[in-house]
Amino acid sequence: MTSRAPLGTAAREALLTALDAGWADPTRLYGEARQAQLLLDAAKESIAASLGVRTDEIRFTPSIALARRRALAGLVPVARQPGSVVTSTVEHSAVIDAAVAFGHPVVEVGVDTDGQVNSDDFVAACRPDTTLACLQVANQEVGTLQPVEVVSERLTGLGIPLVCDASAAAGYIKIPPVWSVLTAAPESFGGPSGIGILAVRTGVRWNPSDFADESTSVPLAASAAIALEDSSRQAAEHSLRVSALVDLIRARVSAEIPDCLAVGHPTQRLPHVVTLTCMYVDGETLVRELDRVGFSVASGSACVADDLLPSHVLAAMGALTHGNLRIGLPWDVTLADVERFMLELPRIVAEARGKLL
Amino acid sequence: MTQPEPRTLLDERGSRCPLPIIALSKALAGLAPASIVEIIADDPAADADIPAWCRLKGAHVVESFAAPDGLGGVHYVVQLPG
Repeated sequence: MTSRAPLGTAAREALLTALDAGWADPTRLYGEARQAQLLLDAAKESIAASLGVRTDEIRFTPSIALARRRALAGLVPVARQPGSVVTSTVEHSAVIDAAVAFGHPVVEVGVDTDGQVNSDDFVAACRPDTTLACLQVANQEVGTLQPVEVVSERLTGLGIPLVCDASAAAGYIKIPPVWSVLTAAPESFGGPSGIGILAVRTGVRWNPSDFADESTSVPLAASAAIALEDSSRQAAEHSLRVSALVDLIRARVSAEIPDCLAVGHPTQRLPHVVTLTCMYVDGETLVRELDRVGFSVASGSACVADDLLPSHVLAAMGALTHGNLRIGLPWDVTLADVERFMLELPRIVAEARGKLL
Repeated sequence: MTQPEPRTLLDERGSRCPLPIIALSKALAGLAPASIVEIIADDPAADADIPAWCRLKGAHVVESFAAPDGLGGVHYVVQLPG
């Protein structure tokens, strides 16, 4: 399931500028190298400011997948005992894979039908020997926010570090400063792909040896920084308006299209994500037909390929795993766009059902 | 002597999602409230989708087990809403 946003105008310009000005290896000492170092420092400073953290807490990785793996790998070697890793059933599959890859026992805490973890259940799953806990800030498929603040407060008392994957949330909401290690994905807030953000809180016991021989792409870092500034600024300006449009889509879909409903938490959610379940159709047909009339959306269903399993997030929520649409509204979406979407969708769903029934 | 209730068995092995759910919804439209419907499905998505559909429609999965005929798939016993 994709949750990428297109590269923003400012992020694109920053990328092109930094391709010319930041090509050199920032660890060298000649003039262009020092200029690349300045660009990299500026990118870190900007991302730190957007996320509300210290500049020296920001690191880059060559992908978001690697950031997720490093987030766990950096913590584990310094932990007291090889204890359990506690996480949720709705984390990004790369986070669950990373947790499993350690060989530590993994405890996955379930969610309710809105896709939200219960903080009591999550904390109860943490034992005295738990090495670390992983809980996303918001879910990538349905936009539901997780209770990271409550969980963090209680884990701090137990001395268990909390890894928060903010790859769906960064650039869209203010990230609560409650994590020990944070991961964020520039490609999902209008930045470039091929770079991940990893933030490690000062004072967290961390083994950085993994990073020793890794270089950062200065142009991608510079572009990611501008994208995050841009998306955060637009979030401040537009998130109430966009969130009201999400409410409108949720209400109209339930009222106007038989056997269709919105999934994910109705209020504790990202401002721009709406996920719909349309019973008795396959999601790919809906995606193709919506694309024909100018709407780019994603599907959570996997009916088209033998090797794809149904979405583990929707299955964990007890939701239908077919007929799903994940819609990420851009900040400049208008009421007219939503009206047009709601004009097209009932027809497209009815036609798709006609082919199967 | 009372006649046993006619048994509705849907063998949906080989059908991909959402076809097993469509078969259930047709059964819902054609049968009396609280009827029992048995459905056998082997699409991996059915494992999530049959209980999910039941929850959304007020039906429930009475039990589920590996299809006893040895041909693969899972056999679900579903009670339609009353």
